[in-house]
Amino acid sequence: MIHVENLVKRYGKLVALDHFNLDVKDGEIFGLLGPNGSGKTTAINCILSLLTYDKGEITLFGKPMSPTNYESKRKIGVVPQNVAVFNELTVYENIDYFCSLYVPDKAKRKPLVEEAIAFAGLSDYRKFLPKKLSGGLLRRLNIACGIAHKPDLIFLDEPTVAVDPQSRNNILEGIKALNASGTTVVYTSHYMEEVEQLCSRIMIMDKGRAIATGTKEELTALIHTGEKLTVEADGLPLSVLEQIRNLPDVLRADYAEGHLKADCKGYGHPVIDVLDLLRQSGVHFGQVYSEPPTLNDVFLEITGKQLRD
Amino acid sequence: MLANIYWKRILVAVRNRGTLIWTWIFPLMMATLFYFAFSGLNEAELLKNIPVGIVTSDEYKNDTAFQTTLTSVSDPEEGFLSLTEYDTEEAAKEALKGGEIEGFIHLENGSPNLSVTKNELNQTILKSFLDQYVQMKHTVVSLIEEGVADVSQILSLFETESWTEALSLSKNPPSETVSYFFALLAMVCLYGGFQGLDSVSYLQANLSSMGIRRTISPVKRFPMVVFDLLAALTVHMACLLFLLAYLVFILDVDFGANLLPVIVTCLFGSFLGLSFGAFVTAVSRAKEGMKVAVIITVSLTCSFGAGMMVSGINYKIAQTIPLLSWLNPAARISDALYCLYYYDGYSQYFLNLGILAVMALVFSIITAFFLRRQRYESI
Amino acid sequence: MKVFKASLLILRRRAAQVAVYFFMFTAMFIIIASFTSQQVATDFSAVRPSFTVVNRDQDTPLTDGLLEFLRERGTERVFPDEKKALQDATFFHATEYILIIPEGFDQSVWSGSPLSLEAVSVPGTGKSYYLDSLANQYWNFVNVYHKANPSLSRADISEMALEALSMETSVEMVRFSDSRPIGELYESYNRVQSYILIVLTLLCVTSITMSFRRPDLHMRNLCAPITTRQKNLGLFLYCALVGFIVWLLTTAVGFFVSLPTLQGADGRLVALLFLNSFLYTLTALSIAMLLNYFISNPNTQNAIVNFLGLALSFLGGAFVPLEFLSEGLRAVSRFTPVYWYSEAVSDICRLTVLNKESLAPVWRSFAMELAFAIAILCLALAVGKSKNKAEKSFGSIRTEIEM
Repeated sequence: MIHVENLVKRYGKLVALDHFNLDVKDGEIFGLLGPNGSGKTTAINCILSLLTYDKGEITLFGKPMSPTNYESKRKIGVVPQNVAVFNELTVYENIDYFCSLYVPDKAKRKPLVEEAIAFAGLSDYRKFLPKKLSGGLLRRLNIACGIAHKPDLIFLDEPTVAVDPQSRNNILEGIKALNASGTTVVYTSHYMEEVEQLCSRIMIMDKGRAIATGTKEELTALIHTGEKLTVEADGLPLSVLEQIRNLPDVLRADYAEGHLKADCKGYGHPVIDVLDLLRQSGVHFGQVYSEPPTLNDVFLEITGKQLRD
Repeated sequence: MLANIYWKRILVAVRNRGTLIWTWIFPLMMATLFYFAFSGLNEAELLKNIPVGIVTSDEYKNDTAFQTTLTSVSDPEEGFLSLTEYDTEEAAKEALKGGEIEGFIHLENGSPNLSVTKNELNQTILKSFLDQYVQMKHTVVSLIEEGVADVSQILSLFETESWTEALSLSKNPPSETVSYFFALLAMVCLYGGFQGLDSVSYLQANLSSMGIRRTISPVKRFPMVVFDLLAALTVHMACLLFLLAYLVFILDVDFGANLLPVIVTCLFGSFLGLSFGAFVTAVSRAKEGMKVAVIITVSLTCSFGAGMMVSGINYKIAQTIPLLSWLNPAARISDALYCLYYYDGYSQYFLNLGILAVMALVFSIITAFFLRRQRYESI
Repeated sequence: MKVFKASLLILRRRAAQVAVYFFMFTAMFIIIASFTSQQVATDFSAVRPSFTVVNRDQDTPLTDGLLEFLRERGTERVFPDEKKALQDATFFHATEYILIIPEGFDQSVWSGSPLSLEAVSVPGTGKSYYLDSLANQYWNFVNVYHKANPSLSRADISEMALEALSMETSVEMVRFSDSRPIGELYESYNRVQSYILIVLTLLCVTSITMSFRRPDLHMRNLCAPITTRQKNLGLFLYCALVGFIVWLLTTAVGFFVSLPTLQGADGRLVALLFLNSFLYTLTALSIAMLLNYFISNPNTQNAIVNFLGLALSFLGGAFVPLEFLSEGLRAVSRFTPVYWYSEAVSDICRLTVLNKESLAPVWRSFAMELAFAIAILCLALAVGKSKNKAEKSFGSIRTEIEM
């Protein structure tokens, strides 16, 4: 559905996209994950033909994308990063306006607008002006304006920034529902929890480059870190910590504030080994739990820095 | 769809309070202010009866010729003097000091003397009146002395009708007040720039996020821009018609017989203002506040050149630097209105409209060039 | 003190706007000053209105004589004999009176029923009346000398007429004092100063209060461990400082620009004018206090400030002399502080002796200005109380347009 090849975009000396490649398949929720300034929005704007680019090829729906490719444009919905609505128009009027750019027929448009309002949970606010809406409702309006015309492909650029948890869940559920009805979604975020929860495929970006692409499982398999073990243990002697570090399946181990944290290698399962060691050394331990690796670990391991700065 | 673009743009404009204040309320307040401030302006130049004192000395009481002359011009209806008699020179001086009279006359050795405190027109007219009396008297005396004429003939010699006949060159009388209102209308026309600014910044993806939404929509660029600007023009014309109605029907400003060409002028002016605002907005990515400042400054400067603050400055500019005057859109608008009010023919009126149209087209074409582009270096 | 410092910081961010206004005003004053005549006349000199003679007939000694006579009494302006040029000249007062000598006039002049000369002017104005009477006077004398002695040549007649017309009445300029105590320039500056003062004060004060009254900021301030009194004291100090600086700046500009005309003027009168503008600054400050409750964004701020500034200044005669206003409007003007400011300026500039009696009207005007300041301040406090109580005080006030 989307095919991007060797896209290069420079802002003066700064290289915003460095031989960027992307393939989005029909019917998936594709996540673009990366810290601020990693080139997510630039990539989307290039795909939408809003920005010029220095090199590369972009095809949408199998056809090269250009500003005058109205046929493709008709099938796209966009939710920009900033709230893009008229301050002077009410909720209903805003959705109706943006929908009318895609659906000229008034009779056909009306049910679509109603549906979008219901979808975004704005039924009680249809006559409100945007400045009277709370942050979460405003974001929902922003989304409703982008999806009312039932596009085949939706770009959502960080739609949940500065949104309360309820609204966020509401938005995420909505996106899933859209996808279930056959819409392809491209979703950018710097919240990995969202992307983990939502997306069928994920691309991790940094400094204008795609550093890894795949399903969540594929990505976590890419890295050395496997399980992450935490043991509540009082008074762990340094010698024991050293022994734990030397265990074959343990990648790293640290002890702080009564908690032992150990990262395990790929497919190893060192829980029994660690607990045995503790019991032999006479260290009392309480709660023990282990977690699978997250995208944060993926990001951390590949780039050496935290995703959220 | 296009109807929706048009209609929603009108809604946006009508609900935008900032623009509403500048384009609807502010001109209305200015018009009211002008109306009150300049209500006396046309009358101020008119000659009213000049209050003058006469010292009723013995000499005056004996000089019947002078008395007759004075009373003949002191008629409350026909004359131009309102005469007050004072017994002594001191009393007259006191009145002069108090500003009750513009000057006083006292006879000395057969000829009148004038005492005044100011160098103004009323004093000049008083002096001129006395000059004429003295000159006549001198001539009469010398004619009789020379024996050229005798007393009986003298009267017939001076019997003449007025040599001059008032002629009006124009259909409406010159008026200083109307030119202020012409310039005001010109300023409001240029304020159409605000609408141009709103339209373009909502259309361009690199200027607003609404612009992003509209750029990626499947609507062709040209009809979208045209309908958007058309709506902006509609709103601005409504604003001008509203102001015009206020001026004509409430403030009773005289724009000449026919209002239709006045409205046409406003239409051309608004078109120019709109395209100017669009131009300013499209060519640069400066902050919106900066662009607003440019529009306000240019409108005000042009209106100043069209005579909004100092009446007649437009004429002086046209006399000394004609090119500047021809290039000043506000001066062209107010000149077009002036032509309608004052000239019989329409040639200069159409010339003005033509210049406005050309300027507007130039701005529009440059703007169109920028708006055609839908891809940007950066957003 | 924090509030005071924050206020100054905010003002610094908006300094450019204020500076633009300040320089605009200074420029405006210099323009006005250039229009003001600066010399004090001691001898009478007649006004010389502008005139134009368009001769469609031939030049004869008679018409030459007319021109010579009119040139002596007026200022000649030459325009081409085109309708449009003459129309424009009349409309814009480039010439006050156009005398058109029609073709064939010279032939008809002795015929007993001479052709009429055409006079174009703004009907009924004093200047056109004056010039018209001069022209008539000239032709009357020409006619008299011709009738008295028909054998005289045109050149002789014109010479005799001019000689007769050269007789003038003696005019005495009565001076009730030696000289004007305060020059016209400085007086007119003082009038314009009322406009500058009010606009600058209103702008500086409302810019700050507008920021402080933004609902979220207002809320923060209410939550902060700082008493209302401290906060108000800060704002008050700020207003006082701004008022003082605005007053000082505008006063200094006026004083130094007009300094050449103030040579030999009584220092006490200048001091009185300083005091007058200072009192008016206080009034402006209290108006600002009142207005701040009605201004919620920069757009209304600019429109209200500009309009109020202009309206008050027109009422006070800053641009157009009060005599030009209608009777009704002049009556309204009495109920504005600017009227009393203006009154005080006129009174002070005409003071020749300083004693209890002559100063009484000045003190009265000062008292009125102060009374206005106090009354408006009380009104502002009352409005403030009711507005702060109301839930409305957290209504929507915006200083920026958020996207």
